[in-house]
Amino acid sequence: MSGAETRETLRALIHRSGLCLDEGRFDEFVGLFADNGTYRMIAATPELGAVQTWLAFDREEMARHFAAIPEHQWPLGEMTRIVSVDAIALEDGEAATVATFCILRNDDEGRTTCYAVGRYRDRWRVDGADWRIAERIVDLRTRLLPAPAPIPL
Amino acid sequence: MPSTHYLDNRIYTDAGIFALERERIFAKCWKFLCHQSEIGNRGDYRTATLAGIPLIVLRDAAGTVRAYYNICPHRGAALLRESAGSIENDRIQCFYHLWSFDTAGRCVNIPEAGAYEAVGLDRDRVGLRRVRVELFCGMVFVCLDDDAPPLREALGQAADDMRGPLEARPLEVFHYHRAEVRANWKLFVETNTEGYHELLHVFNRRTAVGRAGYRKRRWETHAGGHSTFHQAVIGYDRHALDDREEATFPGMVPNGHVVVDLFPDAMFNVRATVGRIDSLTPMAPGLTLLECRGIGLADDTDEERAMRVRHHNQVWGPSGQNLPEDIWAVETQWRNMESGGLAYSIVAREEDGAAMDDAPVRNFYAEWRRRTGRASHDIALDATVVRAAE
Repeated sequence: MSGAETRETLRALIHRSGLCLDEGRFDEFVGLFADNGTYRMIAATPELGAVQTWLAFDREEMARHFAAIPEHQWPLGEMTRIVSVDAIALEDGEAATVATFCILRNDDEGRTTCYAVGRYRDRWRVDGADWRIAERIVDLRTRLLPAPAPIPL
Repeated sequence: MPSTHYLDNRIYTDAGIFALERERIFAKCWKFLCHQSEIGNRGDYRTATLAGIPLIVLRDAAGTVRAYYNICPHRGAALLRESAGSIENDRIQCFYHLWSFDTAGRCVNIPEAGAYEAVGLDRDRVGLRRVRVELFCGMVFVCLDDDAPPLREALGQAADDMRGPLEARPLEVFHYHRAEVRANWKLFVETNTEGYHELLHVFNRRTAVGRAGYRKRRWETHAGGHSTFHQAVIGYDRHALDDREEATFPGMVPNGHVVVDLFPDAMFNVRATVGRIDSLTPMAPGLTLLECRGIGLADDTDEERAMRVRHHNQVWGPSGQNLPEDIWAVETQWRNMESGGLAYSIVAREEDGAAMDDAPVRNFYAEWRRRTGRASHDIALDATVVRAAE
């Protein structure tokens, strides 16, 4: 696969990861991760002068979390992610990407508001024939959420 | 039903009650503002709002914790405009006319001061307006009322219940986040003050309510509207979560859980290995700023801290098992109360102080009535008249 083709593949996978979460295709989202892949949501917090981890999963924990969603009262409404891939760096069968996201939320009455913005900072590696996420860091710019987000952003 | 066992839902929605609460509760009570680890170095500060008044709490050049109005005494501009930071060279300079103050609150420089000589302006009399500040177990409380009793007296028995986990070793805040809760502040207090709503959370149903011995767990109510949910063991393994048996807080048994609610708005909650402090700032009848802190031990190893962060986030983080559900619950309550669709709420469970007893909620409202002077079952009535009639 040429560099250009690889870049196009990664770009498509990043967009797909957003669509999977928007559409509740959580198994497919988990499947985008390598077997030992990890997900971490972080937020720089000026009140403590530090970057905090707000959510951290390995692939197994993530799958368990998604499986438990029907048991919870988490009516977040409908989320729509707008994702723009900003940078792709390739090196020796691995890749690092940065994408900016804006998540819009539709509430029960159909009102749309901006829920959160931030960046996906992903590390990728080839797993078999496919590129998979070795690490996703969700670097939130939004720190004051209208309601907290139990579903990964 | 006794008048203490139901609530006039206008206590949540009425603008007059909201103003009364600000004047008679938040401007009179000790309020948790931050932990001393957040202002660990000389010059460190945090800003906050209490009863609508912008405040600064800081550690001065001598290491003493002090609090002031965050208002320039000259013309009222905001002095410190960040939520946290560090003051350099012991100088707080107003951005507007460059008046300067030291961290002890003294006015130390007035530019072009000669023009004040004609009216005899005394620089020593235009320092920062002080606010009472006291510490308990490293927690910083402030009070706008100079006549209020000292903090320790105001906390009463609740203070003793906090000492075990919070006093023996220095603590440190490792997590802070805020959420805008679109509901009245008291609705969120109630979620922290009654066990009945544990049925809302699948996490609690599995790890607590479903355990043998749950019914033996006891609430204890204290004077001043405070309450303690005494320690019990939680079955984290029943919800595929880590056991909390190692590196527990002082005084906590493995997998132990204890809650202390402080009137009016603070909750101290320890789940064996990690602590949480909630505090609330009412912004409007239907809007509340919730601040959540996670606490660990100051001398944690990297591994211990990572474990505490993980345990914190599993239940209490912005993406935890409980917090989002609590917020959703009170926001739906608020919408319905604002609609006028439900005139009264029932807080009538009596179980001899057992886990699902509403006694701590009623205890909160006993103090609320004492301070506001209004009856909680009918805001049109004077609480003292109702008490006399009873």
